[in-house]
Amino acid sequence: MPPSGDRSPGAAKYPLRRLPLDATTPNAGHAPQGATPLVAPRTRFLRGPQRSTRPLQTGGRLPYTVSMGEEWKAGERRAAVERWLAAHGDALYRYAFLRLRDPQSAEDVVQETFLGALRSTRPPDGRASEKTWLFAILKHKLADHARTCRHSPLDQCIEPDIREDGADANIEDIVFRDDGRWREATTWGDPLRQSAAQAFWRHLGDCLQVLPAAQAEVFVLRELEGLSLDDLCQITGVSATNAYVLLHRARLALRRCLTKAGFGPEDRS
Amino acid sequence: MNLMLGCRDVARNVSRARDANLQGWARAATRIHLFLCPPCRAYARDIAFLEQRIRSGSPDGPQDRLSADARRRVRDALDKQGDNDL
Repeated sequence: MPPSGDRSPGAAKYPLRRLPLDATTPNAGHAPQGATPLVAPRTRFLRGPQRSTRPLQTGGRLPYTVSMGEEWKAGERRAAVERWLAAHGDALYRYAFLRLRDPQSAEDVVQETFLGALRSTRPPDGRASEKTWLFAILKHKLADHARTCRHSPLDQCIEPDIREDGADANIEDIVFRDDGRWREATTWGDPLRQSAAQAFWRHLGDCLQVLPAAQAEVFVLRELEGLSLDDLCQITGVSATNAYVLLHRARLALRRCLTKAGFGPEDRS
Repeated sequence: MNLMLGCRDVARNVSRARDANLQGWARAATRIHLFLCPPCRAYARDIAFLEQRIRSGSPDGPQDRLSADARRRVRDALDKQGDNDL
């Protein structure tokens, strides 16, 4: 919840939930104190989160407890718009397009996101929290768009692709046998022989579109946009435990999909 | 304590290790399993490569960038409302 006494419309409408931070909470790629990173070559995959993110410019505080700034100063909004467009415009659009599957609707929602952010009288501190804040606003705008579409007869009102996430539980049953072993032993082989970059992104985009919505959402926010798990949970509203499960299923499904699409398949038993 | 994990459990742990540090018996059992299981090592290698590939490049299709026209509309909306009167 925003600090007490914060009555700004922006802060009230887009509250940032406080999330507990303890020694085991993953945060921006930093290992918890006392954890010994694995460095054995065979098990380098267990080294833990490797992502580096920009340090939070909040004096060591979490973005969720950041003290809201003062009123916008003259000219600050314009500078903020230019900064947001340059730094976050594409990321916000990609996420909106993933949800809406229509470029015009995605542009409209992103535009509403920026305008909604400008209406806030309390700009967030720190560039790292700014991205999370904008994504949280975008999430609200997507929900507003969904409500509008349900009551609108307009053809251009594209209903977000709401898929039942009950189907995603099948991916582990698909790739694993009843005894817990892999059904197929495949690998992508030598990364140096992989297909061209454009082909990879095309394949990845196609595979993301067939993923259940929740899996695609968390995967995009985590892997493509580089958000920390805490920020991802705040934006999507899922718990950390559920986020782990969704990311795991997304990775399983994408690996299978990319393999079927011909992305560097090589069978090894 | 049973340190033997199946591939299904190890795959979960390998994925989780990309987002949080595995500790304790889960970490030890997963290491042992990866040492012994080529398909699980292949899975770990493939998802590590997927992350590496995503981080090393950026999507560049029409659905990956906010158009210049959309950017102009945002600026126009700001101009229309007034910089400090939105």
